[in-house]
Amino acid sequence: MKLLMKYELDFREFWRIEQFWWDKATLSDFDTIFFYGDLILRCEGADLGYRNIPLLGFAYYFTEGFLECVRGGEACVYYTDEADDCISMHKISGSCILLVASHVSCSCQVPEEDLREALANANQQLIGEILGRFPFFSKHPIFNNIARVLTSV
Amino acid sequence: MAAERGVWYPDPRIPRRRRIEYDFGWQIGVDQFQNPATRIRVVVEPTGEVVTAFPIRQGRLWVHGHETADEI
Repeated sequence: MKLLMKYELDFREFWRIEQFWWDKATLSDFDTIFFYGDLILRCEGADLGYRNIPLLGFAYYFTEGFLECVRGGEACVYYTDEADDCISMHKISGSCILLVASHVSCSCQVPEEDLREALANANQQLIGEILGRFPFFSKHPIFNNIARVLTSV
Repeated sequence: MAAERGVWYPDPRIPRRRRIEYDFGWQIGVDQFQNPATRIRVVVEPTGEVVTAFPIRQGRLWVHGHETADEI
């Protein structure tokens, strides 16, 4: 099973992040307004990725959705507010998860552990890149709450 | 105007939030792909704080994150 998951932060966002007064930030600044970039998500022949979305917010809600799915439920995570496209996760027989994206005509069935590993690595890389460039987030309670969810897989 | 006359509904991306959509009936700007847009979408927190707002088109078909054609 070839599964590739990666978040590519848009470097053009960085000056906006540097200039924002984060002491006054709310959750919406983290999950919707800042940290845009491209989601790379490929599984065998299926390209379930999406360009120019709020990556930190997507990572947060996709991780919550994955954990819900693993517990036996299902989840649908919207890529962004601007487009009405989403990716859904359904746990199916054994320990596999079916990924279906609304904007493409293909779907993908992945072993739960493969998706967990890919998600954990992508989340860790995203947090590492943000903290590497903006170390002050390590003391921000909202960022730390998001990071706690992202590292819980 | 959008808040008074637009359609309110739960934000499917983050359900604690709500959205308003309103069609002005004439072009108010362009969407993210520079196509003419007549509608506005506003995302609002439960506190009333506006999270974001942007012009959108109606009836869109998206492929790989890119708009390709109008829906029929």
